Amino acid sequence: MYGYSFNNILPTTSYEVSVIFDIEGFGDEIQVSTWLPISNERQEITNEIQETGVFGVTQLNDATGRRVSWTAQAVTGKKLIRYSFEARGKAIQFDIDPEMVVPRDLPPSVYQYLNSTAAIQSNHPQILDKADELTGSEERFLPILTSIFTEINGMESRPFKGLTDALTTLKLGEASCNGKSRLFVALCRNKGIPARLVGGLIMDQGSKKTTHQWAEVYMGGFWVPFDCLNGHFASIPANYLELYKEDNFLFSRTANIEFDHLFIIQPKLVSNPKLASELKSSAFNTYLMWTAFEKAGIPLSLLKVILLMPLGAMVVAIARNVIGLKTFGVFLPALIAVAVGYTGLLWGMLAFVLVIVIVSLMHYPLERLGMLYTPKMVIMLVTVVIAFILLSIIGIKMNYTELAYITLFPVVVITITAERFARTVMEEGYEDAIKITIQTLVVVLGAYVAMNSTTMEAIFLAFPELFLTIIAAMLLLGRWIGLRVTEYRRFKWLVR
Amino acid sequence: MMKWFKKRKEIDQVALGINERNLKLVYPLNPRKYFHLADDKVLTKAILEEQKVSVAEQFMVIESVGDITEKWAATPRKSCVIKPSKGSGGGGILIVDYDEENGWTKGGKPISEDTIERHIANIIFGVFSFGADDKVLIEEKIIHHKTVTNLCHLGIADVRVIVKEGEIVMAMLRLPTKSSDGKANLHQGAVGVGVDIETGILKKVFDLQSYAEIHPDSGQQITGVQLPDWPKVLDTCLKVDAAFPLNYLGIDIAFDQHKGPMVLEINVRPGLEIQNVNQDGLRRTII
Repeated sequence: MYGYSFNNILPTTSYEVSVIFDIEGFGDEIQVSTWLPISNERQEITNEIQETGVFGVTQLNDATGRRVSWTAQAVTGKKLIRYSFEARGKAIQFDIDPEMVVPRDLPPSVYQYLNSTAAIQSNHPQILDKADELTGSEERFLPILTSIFTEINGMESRPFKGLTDALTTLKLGEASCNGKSRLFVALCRNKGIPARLVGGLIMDQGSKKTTHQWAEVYMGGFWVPFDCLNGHFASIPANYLELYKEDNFLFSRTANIEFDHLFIIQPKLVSNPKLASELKSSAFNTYLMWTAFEKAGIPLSLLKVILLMPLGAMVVAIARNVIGLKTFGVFLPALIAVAVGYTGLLWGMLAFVLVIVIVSLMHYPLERLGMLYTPKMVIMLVTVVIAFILLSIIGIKMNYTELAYITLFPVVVITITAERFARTVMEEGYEDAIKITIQTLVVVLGAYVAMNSTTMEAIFLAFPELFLTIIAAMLLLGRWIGLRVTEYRRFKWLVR
Repeated sequence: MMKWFKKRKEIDQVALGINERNLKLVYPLNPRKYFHLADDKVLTKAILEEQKVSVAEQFMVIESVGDITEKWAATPRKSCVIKPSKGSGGGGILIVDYDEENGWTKGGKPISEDTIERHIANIIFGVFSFGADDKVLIEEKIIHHKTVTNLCHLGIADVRVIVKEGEIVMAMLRLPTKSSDGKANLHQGAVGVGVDIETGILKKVFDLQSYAEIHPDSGQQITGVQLPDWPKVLDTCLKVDAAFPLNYLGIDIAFDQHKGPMVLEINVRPGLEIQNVNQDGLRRTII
């Protein structure tokens, strides 16, 4: 309808993943091997960094994936290997044609995925009986896979440590991810369906040691994923990171070491990398506007601010006219929210409060000096600027560089804020000024959240026509005669 | 929960909020192009004097910083009120007294001419009128009617009357307190007293927290007191309403011992606290 897909416009989640290996050697040559993730259609790996220290690196790509070995001679004491990357995954879901039949002929390379192995005992009589019991003489993929999947998915899940083979899983009727996946693969292979294990990581925020295994079935030229433990049928979610194929352990190592590992995963929302190219191909074209601005040398961040400013202003309008909050100025909270966008929330809020504190401290002494209004304002502004610069320098000297961000708080906004605050103090006193300050801060926070949401940004960039809905909402608000939320409290006296 | 909803609904029915006041009263009844007639007190006074409405005697108007010294020197050495012509909410009003012996005083304490002149300059710079340049209005200090001074000794007490399209809608007396620094603004600590508009008899005293029958500072009985010259107050309000092409007004009137009710200023966006003071909603006026 719009000429682009919504999924390519909305921001996606990207994960910063670190794997940390703690290795202690005792004087011998040591080696640790594992698999590193590969970018493919459903996962994208970027910003890979290997910090290996004394270890030499060898890499080798084969059918199982990208194998890496870290080797070092005569290692004594604790060593650290750190491997980090950014991963962006995509959820995948296959639709299976209900009439598709399990084929007799397969590509030669796939036949190996029908073999019975030590841990996937697909030819064992008990596996055979189970396969017959579940699927009978059925020959179509969908009913076979549904029966097997439902059976295994219904089994008790247990956090078993280590390897559970297919037969044990069948006998116990319960298992962890690898046992369930092996039984699934064994039953599939028994029915003549090529299947294999996949190993990887479920990317959730936090740190963990646990890895995950699921299964893949070869069907119509595709390897289709199944996760019997977490109930994903012909699908896997976006936070599944694939590391290797087939029945392997993720880590292997020489026996002469102490070894430990830890995954640290940090998700973050990032704008969709396909955003620009998606918009380019749409009929109603904001992308043209972007390129025009870019050619003129105007930073895109400025365009974003301009495009999202109405959203911030709408937040202010709702806060004032519906909730009944008082703020310094009509658009000042939205402007401060933009400023806070540059400095970050913490430093922005701190800068705002700092301005207020400085102005309050200076107000009375300057008032006593008997100064005219405008020169007094200039003195206050200069003091604020000096304080900001001092703070930045102190921050840098003390190696606390974030403190320097405070200088990004735009001076114009400082001026207006300080001036409005000082005026409110003069007209209505400190108490009211501080109350309005707090309410302004609340509205700033609201505007900041609305304007800094990557989702809002993407939606407004993709559908600039949404500005019309802001106008529509404001037309309604402009004719709305209801009491403001705070007025219910104010007029409580009218009802006994 | 049900009780809460019921209470909200009841408030909805009686209370006039800012949104509704603006949309149903201020915008349709007070054309914006005439706002300046009410917002500029010098202009307001000129119109009222022409209509023979009683106002405080004007001593001086100062419009530019360069004129301050000269014009202040030419201002009569008499107790006076110095205020911004376009101020709002009672901000920037300075009341000074003069006598031969002590010179200029403010609330009994000496005040230097420098301080006064600086205040005048601040007014012209627009400190009290949202940044726009302003004029300074210097006028006679009203000698309060003894009925009013009996109620309160500090500052200027005045009565606020709401008039809508030739009809008196609601009224309250505003009494300064110690904590309001002599100002008659409810949000600066003054108290409001409901007024029966038929008779001019005072109702309860409201200080934004609770209702009472006495003045919070002096303990003087207030409820039940009859305001002086009440028929003349009502008559004055109707005259003011007729004099302006504005039809929803808050008219502030002071009681002078000798000259009777006197119009201080008129307001095109009269505040809503008067509803709490009278324990009566303004919504009924628009239904």
